[in-house]
Amino acid sequence: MHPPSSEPSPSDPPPPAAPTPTPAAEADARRGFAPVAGVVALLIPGMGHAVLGLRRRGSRIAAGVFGLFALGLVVGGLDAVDSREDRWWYMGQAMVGPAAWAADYAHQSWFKHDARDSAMPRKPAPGEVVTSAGTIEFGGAEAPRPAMGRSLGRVNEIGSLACALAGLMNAIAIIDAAFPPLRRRREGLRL
Amino acid sequence: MTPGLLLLAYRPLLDPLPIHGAEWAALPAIALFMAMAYRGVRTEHIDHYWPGTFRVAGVIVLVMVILSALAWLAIEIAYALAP
Repeated sequence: MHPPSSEPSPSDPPPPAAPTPTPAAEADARRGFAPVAGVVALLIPGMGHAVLGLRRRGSRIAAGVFGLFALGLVVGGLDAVDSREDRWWYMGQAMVGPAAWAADYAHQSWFKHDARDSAMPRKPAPGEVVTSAGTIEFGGAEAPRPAMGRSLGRVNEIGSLACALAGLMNAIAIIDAAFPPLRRRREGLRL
Repeated sequence: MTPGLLLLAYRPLLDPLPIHGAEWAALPAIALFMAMAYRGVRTEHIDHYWPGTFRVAGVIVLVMVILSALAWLAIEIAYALAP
């Protein structure tokens, strides 16, 4: 009598083989590489997918990213995008691309001015005026309203958050445009 | 100053929206736009885009409401138990 053994004997049927992925399934799981689409996606949100032939995806991504960014600007004002005073927020917001860069440029160069009480340029507060020399001075009770309002508290937080989320969403879209799944060839992907 | 007067003085993009105390009203819009961008990337079939988008937006809002309620409850309990 032989002891029971876990070794298979030659007469046993072979174990069922693990299912092997078909070439089509393997191709579906792969991702391509489209660096130009990635760069274009950074410059214009959604356009990276459009240049790959995925216009419907691109238009929806653009609507989502620009919608978030515009919502942030409407709620928080231009003050929600500030690379000097809110540097960490701006790191996320900058991923929206030229729209965020332009908003920050306008904020820094058109609305901020030198002031004696501040080491860096700042916006005039109510009661202050910008002189012809481009510096901020006290204007008294008759001073006109500042060219741009400062957003404070939760309104500023919501505005900054929405703009930063727009940038983070576009970062995902940039990666997806640069490394598109090849299964999207059925959807019209040209790669 | 009343909210109506503040709204009259509002300059789009230059001033913050005078919604102090009602900031939470922006959450559904933020969730919807986030879901639009996210589903644009993640959806398997673009024909199923909108149902998935509204589902993700709803989940975001629901989870935020639940987390807010739990945080409020935790603070209330901690406050009641505090010496």
